[in-house]
Amino acid sequence: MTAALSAQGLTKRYWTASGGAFLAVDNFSLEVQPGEIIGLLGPNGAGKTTAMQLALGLLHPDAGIARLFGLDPEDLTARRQVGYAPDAPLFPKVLTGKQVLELHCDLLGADRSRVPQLIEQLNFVEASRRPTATYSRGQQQRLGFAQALLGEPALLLLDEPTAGLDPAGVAQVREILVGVKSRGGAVLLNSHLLSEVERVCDRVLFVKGGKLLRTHEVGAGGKRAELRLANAAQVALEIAAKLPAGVLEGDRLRVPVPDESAVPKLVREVVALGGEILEVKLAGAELEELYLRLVEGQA
Amino acid sequence: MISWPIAISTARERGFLKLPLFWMAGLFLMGLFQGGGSRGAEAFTGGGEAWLIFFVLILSGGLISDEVDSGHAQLVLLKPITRAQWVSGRFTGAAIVLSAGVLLSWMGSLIMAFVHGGDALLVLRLQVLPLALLTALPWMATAVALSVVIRGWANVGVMVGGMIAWGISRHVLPQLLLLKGFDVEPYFKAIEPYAGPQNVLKDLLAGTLTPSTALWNLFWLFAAWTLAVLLFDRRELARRRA
Repeated sequence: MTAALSAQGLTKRYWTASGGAFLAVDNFSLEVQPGEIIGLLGPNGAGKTTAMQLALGLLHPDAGIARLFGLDPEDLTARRQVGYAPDAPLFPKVLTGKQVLELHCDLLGADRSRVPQLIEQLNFVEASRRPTATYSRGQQQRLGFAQALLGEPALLLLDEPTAGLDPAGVAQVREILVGVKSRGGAVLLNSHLLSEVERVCDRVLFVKGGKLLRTHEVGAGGKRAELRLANAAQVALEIAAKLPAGVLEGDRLRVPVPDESAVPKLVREVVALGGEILEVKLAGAELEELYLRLVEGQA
Repeated sequence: MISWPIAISTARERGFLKLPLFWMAGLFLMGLFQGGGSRGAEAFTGGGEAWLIFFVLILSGGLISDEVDSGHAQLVLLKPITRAQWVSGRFTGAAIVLSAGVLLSWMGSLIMAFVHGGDALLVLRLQVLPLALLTALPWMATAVALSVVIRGWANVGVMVGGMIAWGISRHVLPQLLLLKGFDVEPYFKAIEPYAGPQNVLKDLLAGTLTPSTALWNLFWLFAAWTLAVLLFDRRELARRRA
């Protein structure tokens, strides 16, 4: 199967005012297959955005090659299948959101009936009638996301799509990404929100200093149950003795579990030890720890 | 070659700003008060010429660079259109607004000709419209080519600087050098017809309009347009964020 996006050895240097070189992306390779959501995780300035722009052909690599559906990124057939939503997009100030979407629709040769659908789906009906100069960061983000979705792209590249969005907006983005995946679309997602990445991504790439540090299969390392206890201090000793894998921090007990089916048994065990459970949450076990260890350099 | 959705959106974007609307009103008034003569070309000479050239600069200030700097050009060029279509679409959109301004001025001059009861022969007057565009569009193409390589509205600054520099060189330098015994006036006279696009309407009024002047403007227009497309084809579309 042809990869939706493939990049081999992408390298990009920027020249500083003092004449020195800054390596923004260093020998970066990745592949995104149809039906897959890949997350890019890394601190600010890690080279995630530059890597995306290189893959899209917006920047010229100093070395390496990028392909969209096996074609050159500048190929118009490839571009017809791609949607890109940058971080903090800006639009012509005098045009309304609807006019911007209609312009992008016309460029795609797509049916304009998609425009009101997307405006409603992304919940900016009132704002869409106003010039974009009056938009808040969140509204601009929604408009940028909407233009990326116009042609029902087979490959979606999103740079911090949830930045500036309210919780409802974040949930909408998540829903849409799952929808894209379910119809066989591929997504490359650059986000700082570990919880979001964990919820929607199949694989996560950790990036730092322009280098790909590690690829991580989400869920491969099992999950982690987090229990909030009303009487954590009273049952701490029993838990330490009977559940040695568990870590008690404040009122929260974190226990690694193979999958969600193990949670009811764990809850019964904690109750049997005298624990009074207020809340139970299930999260990927390793992502945060991995991020801190690999990217932030913490033990 | 031209992306019409881009042209229409650019015309909408540039034409509905306060400054171009003000300048268009000025063009109409120039037509009314200056262009009532026999042909209407007077509206685009003297102060009218300067007003027209500044209208061109207002319409083409940051025409390419603003879109690239804001990042909107990236989004548009990830759609299935070529860079040449996009640059040409932006140029055409600004040219549509310019044409509207020229038309307003022309209509002003026509109204005044009727009011004065003078010779308002429509056929003779109609030739002013393409000739005014033939004067203005090469300047616009030059500003677009500069906007591909310079940030923001610096393309306007460079053009105004160039015009002032040429004006000073043309009118002051020969006098100064003559004091030292060097007569460079004939050389300046020889190169003047090739120093940028020419005002063909001035030649029309003076009765000296030749095909070569019109062809020179046409050549300049297409050369600058081609240069803009070639330069834009080579440039990167994303700026590294600070």
